[in-house]
Order: sequence, then C-alpha cells, then structure tokens
Amino acid sequence: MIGGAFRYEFLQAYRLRSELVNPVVFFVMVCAMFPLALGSNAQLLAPLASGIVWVAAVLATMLSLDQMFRQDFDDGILEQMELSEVPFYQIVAFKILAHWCLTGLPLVILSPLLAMMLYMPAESYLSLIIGLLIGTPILSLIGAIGAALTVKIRRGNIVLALLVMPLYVPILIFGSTAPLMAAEGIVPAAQLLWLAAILVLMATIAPLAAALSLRVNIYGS
Amino acid sequence: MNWVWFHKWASPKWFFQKTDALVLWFGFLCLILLTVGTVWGLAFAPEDFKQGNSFRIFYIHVPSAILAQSIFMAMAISAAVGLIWRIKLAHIFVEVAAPIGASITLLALLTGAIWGKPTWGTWWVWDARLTSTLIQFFIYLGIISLYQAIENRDTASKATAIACLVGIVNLPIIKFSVNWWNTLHQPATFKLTEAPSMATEMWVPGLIMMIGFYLFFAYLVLIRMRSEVLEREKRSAWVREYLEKKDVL
Amino acid sequence: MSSSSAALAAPCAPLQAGEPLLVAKGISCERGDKLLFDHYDLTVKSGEIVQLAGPNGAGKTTLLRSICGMFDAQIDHLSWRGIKLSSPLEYADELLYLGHKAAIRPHLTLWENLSWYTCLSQCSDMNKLAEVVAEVGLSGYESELASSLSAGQKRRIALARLKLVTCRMWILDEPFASLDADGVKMLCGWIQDFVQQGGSVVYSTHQPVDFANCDSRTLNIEQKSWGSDSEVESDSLSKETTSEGSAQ
Repeated sequence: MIGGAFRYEFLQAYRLRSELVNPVVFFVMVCAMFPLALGSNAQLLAPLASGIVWVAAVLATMLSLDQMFRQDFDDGILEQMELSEVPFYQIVAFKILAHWCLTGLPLVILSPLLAMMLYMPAESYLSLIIGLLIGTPILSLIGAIGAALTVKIRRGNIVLALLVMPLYVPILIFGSTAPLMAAEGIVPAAQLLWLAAILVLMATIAPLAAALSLRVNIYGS
Repeated sequence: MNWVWFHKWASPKWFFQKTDALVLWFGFLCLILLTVGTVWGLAFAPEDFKQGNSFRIFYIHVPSAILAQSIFMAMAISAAVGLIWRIKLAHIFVEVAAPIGASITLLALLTGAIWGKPTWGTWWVWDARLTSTLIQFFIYLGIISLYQAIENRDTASKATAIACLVGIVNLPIIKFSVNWWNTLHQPATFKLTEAPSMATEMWVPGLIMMIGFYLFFAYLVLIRMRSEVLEREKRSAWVREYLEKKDVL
Repeated sequence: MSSSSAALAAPCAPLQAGEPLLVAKGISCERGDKLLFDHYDLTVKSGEIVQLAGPNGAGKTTLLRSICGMFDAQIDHLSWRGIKLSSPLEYADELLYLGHKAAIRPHLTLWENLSWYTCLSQCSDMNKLAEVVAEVGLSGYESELASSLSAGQKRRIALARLKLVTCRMWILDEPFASLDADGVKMLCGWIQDFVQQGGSVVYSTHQPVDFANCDSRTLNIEQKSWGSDSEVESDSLSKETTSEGSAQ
C-alpha cells in the first residue's frame, strides 16, 4: 500500500523531469569551476579532488532540499498523509528515499567522471564512490529534518542551509578524508564505518524528527 | 514523588513573582564576582612562566567557552521539557538563551584568537576545539534564524525545540569527526597549553570568573524571560496590576 | 495505544445509529493571542449531521482541525466509539477530512491523483474509481493534468474522495465553496445517504442547510473578542501542563 503511494513520488518527478537535472548540473558546474579558478595543474588538483567533489555534492544536495516537502505541504497532501493509517514517519521515510534516488544517486553515479576530470589518483576512486554512496543518503536524511522545519518559511533556503550545514560537516570530513587515506595506501575503513554508523543512526531518527517537524508545521497552518 | 512544584514553576505568573527577588540577587552577585575576578585575573594574578601576560585572556576565554557549551546543553534539556510536557516557559527559555549563547560563543572565539596570536603566532588554527566551537556558533545562528523566520510563535517554539535536540545529538559526532580530521590532516604543531596544575593564585580568580559568568547568564536569562512573560500575558489581570503598581500604566 | 488499537482494528465495521461516535470535552484552542475555545464540549453521534455556523475568524476551521488532529488543541477528555484516547490522530484513519487545501498534486492527472489517494487507505476501492469520477461529473477529464482544471473541478476531485473511501465520519471545511448549484445538490444528497447508512458529518458553512429526515443540528460559533472586560485565566498558558493532553 505504501509502495503504491511511493511510486507517485517518481511519477511526479518524471512530470517535472526538466527540474530533475538541476542538482546534477549544479554538481558538475561546481566541480568544473575549481580547475578554472585554481588553474589546471594536475599536481595541485589531485590532492584536492576528493574535497572538491564532496563540497560540490553537499552544495548540490542543499539546493535540492527545499523541494522535498514544500510543494506537498502547500497543496495539503502532507495533511492527508498524516491522516492515513500508514504511520506518518513511514511515509516521510519513503519520501526521503525517493528524494535520494532522484538527487543523491545521480551524484554518486557521476562522481567517478568528475573525479577523473580533477585528476584524482586511481586508488581513491573506490573509497570516493563508497563514501558518497553511504554519505549522500545521510545528507538527504539530515536535510529532510531541516526541510521539514523550514517548510513554511517563504524564502527558507538560507535558514535551511544555516541549520543543516553544521550537521553536514562531520559527513563532509569523513567522506573527503577517506579517498585521501586511500591515496596514501591506507584502507579508510574507519571513515567509511563511521559514515555507515551515522547512516544507521540518521535512518532511525531522521524520519521521526522530520515527521514531528512536519506535524508541528501542520498544526500551525 | 511530589511533582506539584514542577507544574507550579511552569506557570508564568508564579515564575514571574518568584523570580522578582532572584533577579536582584543574581545581578548584584555577578557584578561583584565579575569585577573581583576580572581585576584579580587581569591585573593581580602572577604571570605565566611561558606565556607571560598574554595568558591573562584565559580568565575571559575559558569561562566563556565552557558557558557556551553549557548554555546549549541547558537549551536542549529545556527544549525536551517543552516538547514533552508542553511547558511554554521552557520554550521561552530556549528562545531567550539562544542569542546569549551565540554571543558567548563569539566571545570565546574572539578571545581565543586574541590569545592565539601571541601564543601560536596566528589568529586562527583549525584545531579540533576551535573548529567545533565555530560549528557550535553556526548551530546557534541557525536556531536563532529559524525562530525569527517562522511567523506563528507556537510553531516557531516547537520547531526551534526540535532543532535544538537534533543539534545536541550531532554535537558529539562533530566533536569526534573534527578531532579526527585534525589529527589526520595536521599534526598538532601548536598545542593549546593546558592548565591542569596551576598555582592557587592562578585558578582561584578563574573559578571566581567561572561562577561570575554563570550568574551573569542566569541574570540575563531571567530578565529576558520575565519581559517575554509580561509580553505574552499582557492581556491578563495580574500583568495589569503589576504594571500599575510599577506606575507604568 | 495498545488497548485502543485492538478495538480500532475493524474500521470498516458498521455502528449502530445514535451511538456516540466522538466525545470531546474541554477543547481549548489558542490561536496567536486569541483564545478561540475555552473548555468547549462537542459530541457527535453516529448518523448525525453537525453544522458549524459563524462569521469568519470565529474558529470554525480551528475546531474542525482540532477534532481530526490537524491542530494541537488541548482536549481534556477524548473518546472515540467509547474508547478513551489521548489524541485525535489515533482515530484519524477512520475519518475523512476535507480542508481548504485541495490535496491535489498539480502535475498528476485526475485519475492518478485519485489512485494515489486510494493507496493511503485500506478501506478504499479502486474499482469504484471510474464510477465515482462519473458521479462527480468529471468523466472525460481523467487524463487531464490537475493544474489545468478549474477551481470548481478541483473541488469535485476532492469531493470524489468521499465516495472512494469507507469511513465513519466526514469532517468538511466549507465544502459548498466553489460548487455550482448542481454540485451543492449532489453533495447534499451524498451527505444524506452517508448519514442514513450510519456515518456522521461535521461541517462548517456560512449558510446552514436544512436536511430533511436527518438528525441534524447547527452549532453557532461566536466571534471572540478581546475587550477590557475579558479576563483571561492567569495560568492559561500553563493549563497544558495539567491536562491529560497527549505528548506527540
């Protein structure tokens, strides 16, 4: 039943498919700007590559967070979802999953290409991809809490960024240092395991916190 | 256990009347302690063996850094109380303490920089503690801006409470990750001088400043909470009586 | 919660007429600085129509939202089908709420919007979809994107939900708004049929309607005013702490 409702998220996204590429385009643009600004010296860019890709991924995700709940909140869809017999946090969890599939997953898929353009050393690729694969869902989850809190604020983007940025810092640190460790020949098990642990933590509490935040906003409208 | 006292304090009128005297006491005490502590620390305490006089900024920096973290802890507890038991005073505390917390964190960062220049030769270092404090500052700013941005006050209070709780969950993670990042990236060439085995003449003014800072926070928070209570209950009879008594109306 | 979930497990089972469905005592709502309701009691029996009438801003919408869990009112005593509950959200899946927002996704077609809605409830019937669309007078528009429909047509899509899902109570906020005369007649007919089968309807309106052969009553919600005479309980803000209202 919830699975049936889930596919409408993708259907809706498909109808607005011209907007789907926005985070991806932004991601590529940010990654491209760094060589343009810093010069295309391979020796300079190689150690910076993982950091640049991660920063771009974080920024691209932050840009797309607004879309997660705002439209459905304004249309009254979230109210109806809250009244349904499916627990609200489950619906919210599926919405977050849909959001990640549409924004985070493309970033993960594109990342090797961009890393290559930034001269990332070969040993780092796997840890970059795995790091992003574990890390981008965390970004969506934490971002969902921020999006849920700011859903009623008219130009909520800056408040959302300010709320969510401090919480993104650990993910950014763990994710971007993993490829650096790999380049030095050390397996970055610690960073990736930490990311996995944070993913499990956030997967449990973020849907609940986001559902609570949405409920609080519904009360106020 | 008798929970009546708990619910009594949740009443704004009760809170207002009981804290009348407290405010004066806190204000008076903190003025004394801060004056004594500052003068003692900045002028009379002995010079540090290694750092000389620049060490004196410790007397402002350390209390403010510790207070910054305590304030956030208090906000998080208050947020939880407000959400679970629906006590509006708890939400008022969170709203009122956030700007104070942000300012104290900024003070800690600035005094840290002032301390850093003569000690490390640089205004800023991406040390684990500094970076976590900077992130803490941004968390405060986020909470303040969230409260300001939501129009409905009830929603704003609850949303801010949730944001506080999420922030507190992440604080250990931030601390840990920045610690790690720091040791991975940058071997600590500059070490923050610890002060565990300080001479008595040195840590006593520190303790006085510490207590003074806490009292200062309590004083500010009480004043702001009281004025917020007056504003929210402005239509009640007891507020009108109070203001008439004070010759305002 | 566990004691109530067993009894609420049969949401589609019928009720006897006249049995009290919803008993909400001591509803207190505060909106901004205004105390809209101070210990207001509301009882709805099965097979009954309750009309809330009153001027704009009196609190009709807030009251409706309070009893379906969309507004965080403080309710001293709440029971649904005789079972004492702590929050309206616990029985929210047995009712249908139609508020001011249409709950229609503009980029999905009419058909998709209604199919999505049936996914949210197990008491809905997908097979009746075509029939219901015809009944609201929108056949032929199934593949139209909802954004291209008029306000009145969107209102009809929202109303179509009433026929798609079986439930015990309809809570409707100004359901006759943007409906033409035909639509009004249709809705009145639906309400009468629903009530005769044992359901209850609570709705707000500016013009009370006379329902023949139905157990209906009108509640007048008055405008609250803040004057120099109005005295507010000094502990009004802390009432929440002493009530049995739910946490979340």
